Amino acid sequence: MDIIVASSDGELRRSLADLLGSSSNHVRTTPRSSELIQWAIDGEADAVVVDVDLVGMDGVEALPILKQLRPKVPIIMLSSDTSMEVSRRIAEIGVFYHFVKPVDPSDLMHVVRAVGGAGR
Amino acid sequence: MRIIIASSDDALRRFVAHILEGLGEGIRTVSRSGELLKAVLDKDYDLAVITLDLGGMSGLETLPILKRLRPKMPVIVLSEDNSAEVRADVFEGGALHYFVLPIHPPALVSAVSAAVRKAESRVQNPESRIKSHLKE
Repeated sequence: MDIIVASSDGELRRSLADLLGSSSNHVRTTPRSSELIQWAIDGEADAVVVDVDLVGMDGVEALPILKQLRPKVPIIMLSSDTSMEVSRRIAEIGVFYHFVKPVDPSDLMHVVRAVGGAGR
Repeated sequence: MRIIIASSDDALRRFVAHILEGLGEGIRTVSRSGELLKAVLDKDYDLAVITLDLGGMSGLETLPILKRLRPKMPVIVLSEDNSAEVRADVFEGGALHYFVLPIHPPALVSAVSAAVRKAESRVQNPESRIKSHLKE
């Protein structure tokens, strides 16, 4: 699977790249919302893991743009904000799954496998 | 003419909208890069006037994305930065004009009018668009 991981947290990006890359996935990572959107314009990915914390636009603001550019690409959202407002906005736009950080690696792998299964 | 104006500076946004209100039948103003990108995805605009100070992504980061989403839409950039480096980045990003603030209203009106006339003549006369890409 071709997976994009976007987060301003370098440690989280590296951990997710290691975790997701271990299952013969091709993983691209970026800290910046601008690069994330440029990649979405470039073409489809099999899944996008987006942290609310991004450099530039935050993940919640980037989400409707991503959805409009690539409506079929499943988005897995990560946030540390458990407020109703953030959860409501994410749910309204519609994502495949919303994790509240810290993310359990096995749960994430389970969801990514589900994305892969849904795409087949 | 549909114009979108994007700046995090409320007063500047209002001022630019006021300057251009005679030209635009539908002027929309936004303060954030996300709103700007969403707006041009939702609707066709004839021209965008943006500043480099935007909420979210900077104008410099937003500009190339804007041009990829709407390659034919002219973009005019306003900034307080007069450095050659920023100017080069702005034109590399695809801007048609770069104005250093403070704004000179007649110059902006003239640039907007010319940009839209040029875009309209291309729509009305597609042959000229083809010819412009051919060698004499």
